[in-house]
Amino acid sequence: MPAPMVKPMTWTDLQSPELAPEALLTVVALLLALLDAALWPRRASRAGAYATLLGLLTALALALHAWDRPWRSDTLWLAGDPLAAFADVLILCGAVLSALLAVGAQVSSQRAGTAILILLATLGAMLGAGAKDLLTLFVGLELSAISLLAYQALAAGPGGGHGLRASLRFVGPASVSTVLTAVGIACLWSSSGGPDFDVLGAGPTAATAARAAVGGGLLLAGLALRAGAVPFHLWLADVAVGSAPSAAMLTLSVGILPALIVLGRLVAGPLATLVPELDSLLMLMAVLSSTAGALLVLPQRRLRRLLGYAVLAHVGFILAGIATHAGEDPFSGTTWMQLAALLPAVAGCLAVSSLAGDAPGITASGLARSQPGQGVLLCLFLVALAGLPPSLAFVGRSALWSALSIDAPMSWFMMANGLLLAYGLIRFAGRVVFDEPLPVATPPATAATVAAAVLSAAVLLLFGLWPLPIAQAAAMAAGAG
Amino acid sequence: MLTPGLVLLPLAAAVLLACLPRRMSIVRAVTFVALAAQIMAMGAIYLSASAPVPFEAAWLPSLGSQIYLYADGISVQGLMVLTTVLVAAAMAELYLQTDGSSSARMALVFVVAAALNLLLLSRDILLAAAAHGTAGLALAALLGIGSGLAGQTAARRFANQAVVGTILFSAAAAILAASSGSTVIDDLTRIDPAPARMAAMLLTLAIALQVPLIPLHIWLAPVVAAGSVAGRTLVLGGWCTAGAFCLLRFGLGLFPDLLAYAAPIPMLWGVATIVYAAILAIAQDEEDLLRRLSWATLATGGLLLVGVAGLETQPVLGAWMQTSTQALPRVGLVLLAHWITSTGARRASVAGVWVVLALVVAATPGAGPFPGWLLVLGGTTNPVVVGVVLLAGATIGYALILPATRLARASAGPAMPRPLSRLLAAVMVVVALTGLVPGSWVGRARPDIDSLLERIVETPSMSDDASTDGEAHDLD
Repeated sequence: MPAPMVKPMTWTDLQSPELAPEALLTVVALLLALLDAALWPRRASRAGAYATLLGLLTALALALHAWDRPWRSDTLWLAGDPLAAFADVLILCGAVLSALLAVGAQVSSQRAGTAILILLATLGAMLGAGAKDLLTLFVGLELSAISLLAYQALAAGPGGGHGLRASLRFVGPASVSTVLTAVGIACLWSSSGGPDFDVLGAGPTAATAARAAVGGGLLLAGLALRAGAVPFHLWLADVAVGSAPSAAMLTLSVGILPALIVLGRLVAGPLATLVPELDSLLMLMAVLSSTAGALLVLPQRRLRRLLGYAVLAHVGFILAGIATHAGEDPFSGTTWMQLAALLPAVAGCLAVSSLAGDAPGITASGLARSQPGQGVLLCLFLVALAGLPPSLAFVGRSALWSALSIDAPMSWFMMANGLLLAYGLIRFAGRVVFDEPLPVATPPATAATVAAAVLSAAVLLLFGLWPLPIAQAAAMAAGAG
Repeated sequence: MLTPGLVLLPLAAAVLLACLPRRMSIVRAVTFVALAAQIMAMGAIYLSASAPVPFEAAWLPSLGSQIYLYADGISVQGLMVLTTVLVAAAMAELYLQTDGSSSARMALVFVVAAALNLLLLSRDILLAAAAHGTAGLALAALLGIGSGLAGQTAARRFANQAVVGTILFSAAAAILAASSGSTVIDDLTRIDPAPARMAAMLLTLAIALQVPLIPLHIWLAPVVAAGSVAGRTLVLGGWCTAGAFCLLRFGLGLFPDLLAYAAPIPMLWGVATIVYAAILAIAQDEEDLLRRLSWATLATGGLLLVGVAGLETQPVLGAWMQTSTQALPRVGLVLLAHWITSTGARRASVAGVWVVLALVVAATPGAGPFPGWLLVLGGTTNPVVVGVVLLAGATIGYALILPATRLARASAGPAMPRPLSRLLAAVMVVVALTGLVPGSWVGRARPDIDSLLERIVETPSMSDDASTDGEAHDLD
């Protein structure tokens, strides 16, 4: 097979608006790192977090600006289509919310420079999600994983033993994922003759098909590990409990989210032909993840652990959305809608958890009585995680139900899991509204954390009542391939 | 363009109540303005001579969902009932709540009103499911906030049934969207048999939870017995009536052939519900007025199903009339029962009011529900069913009137508060008017009921399926 022609990346390519958010994030991250080194020793200030937030907001504005431009198929390394644009916007939205939570956290000199890691992790996630070849994918995912690990460990600040423990809990799965991804990429490259996604599906011959299938399987396992799907989910709840709110949010936006997006792209593209029975395998993983998540939500009395298991159940629902469209389009609108609803719901829960004191064992029981505003917001976020109206998540969940086949028993399992998850979350919301509040000292609310909570609630409600713009963007992204 | 206003007005009132300072004068002012606006909008729709113009806007194109709001005859009647119930609920919150009124609860009253108005106006089943869920969750919060332990337990139970109902409702809508590419009921004229069966099964469960019907009624009695007064008013007057509307619009409207195919199961289900409710009503502790009322409500759901299972204009129209005209007297009874239970009031005048309202709920001649009740019985061809329904109806009437003797025997407790007595007087006037002049009620709903039933002939999907399976059945 002739080797694909490689065109070197030019300065014009770098200036193209599709890549502007990535270029900007690189420049801002380098600049802030230089300033951090030059202005040593660090002072206890939020300047780094504010600069990071500003950089992310600018990148988000650029990504939104590039959204409705004509597609470009001639870009190297990174895709310039609506799918990549939607992925960039989602990742940046998650990172902005994470940065807002970081701005709202307590100030200390030790963590003053850690916010730069948010930029690097976001950059890595965007590179991974938009990659057009296996090497860029690997570099992007590793950059985000390493930055995320460091941020999880450092964001808790002095005495933040929980953060360090959460980071150590994450380091094992992240390392295994790196190995699986690297070996999988090597197998795929050697069997297909090139790293480009375009040649992966067409490259393998009868002699190399088995190696390609093994490579595809290993890559799939590596991505599932990053996404926290069953049976690779054991780190998820511990990270949700132990990390600082901004680190937990970053884990979702640059860890889980890009893994699911890449999984969707590969499953709809080359992996569908390389790995036999891929859709059944993914559906099995989806059912197991949503069942485990929904069942584990039921006995939880602590908000952060409940959140971890609710995210696990959502990973299952998103995998089901990907599985139903394996080999068809790069992403069904279903999956985009679910991802778009998951981000603000989780960010909102973390923001309220932060406002309510952010102790690892926070139960939030009776929060609506002691802090009515926070209680109402938390109930809205729990309703969104349950996939109920009037939140955006209801639309995403309904779209998933419509994508499932009514003849398949797995579909009924998914619906039963949806019911179970909703029951568990609404029961928890009942405790938030009706129980007697516990005597817990709450810190003064910071404007940034309140902003994160209110912004998340506004997005969920506004697009829940009027989902048309997101639905249209999701449909456009789904049709990109 | 009044139909979107019926959703947006109460929503705006709820937002105002949530944002403005929590002073009672402000809460009262916003409430009265919002109620006046709702009544005027409703009156304008009812009195408008021209045919109503549907409001259409894209909502979720990937599922074929639209914001498609249209006020036909059945919707207008349902909306009128809801408006009167909303007024009663708001008055109950302002003047009858034991621990005083609260702006949060009043905001929730308007959220429920907006969502139920949307449910009645929407011709899109997914949008209706969204409205169902919003109303259910807001009602659960309304029932539990400021209540004791029993009220909170009832609220949790109500939330559970609302969540289950919403997920079943939305799953049914999603199945229809997948098979037909649309969730607007006017587009769903021909549905493939397999998805139709599945969607009908899920919808049946969701509606049976809301109406309610046995064995999915277990949330009803605890909710009627405890919880905030406004919440109970809206559950008995609004939520259950909206369930009856959903049975007509989405059950009979979408799957008339399946209903005919499943005969006589729906009718037996309805009869079983009535008999079960009658037995429990007569066996209930005589002092427990609220639980007796809850069993009477359950029986109304059963009679609705008996009428709808008749699949002829007369019983279906009767079932809708009976259910919709019972909402207001039931609200009157629940307010009176709450006051009697919370104050321990006993005297002949209270007993008299109780008897009058109980007779209305039992569909005595001259009362609003009587014409509907008569149409259901007259349209039911099976004499055994008629006999059982008559006997059970008489038992429920007796069970409702019986506590009046105990109320009349003593003279204790405070005098009836003026807002309650005025509200009950207004209820009695409305009930008498609808009972004495039922022509307008019948004339409005009949064409829409006829068009629903015409679809039995128009949608032969199940008949095709049955004939291919070799299972002959007769629609007649």
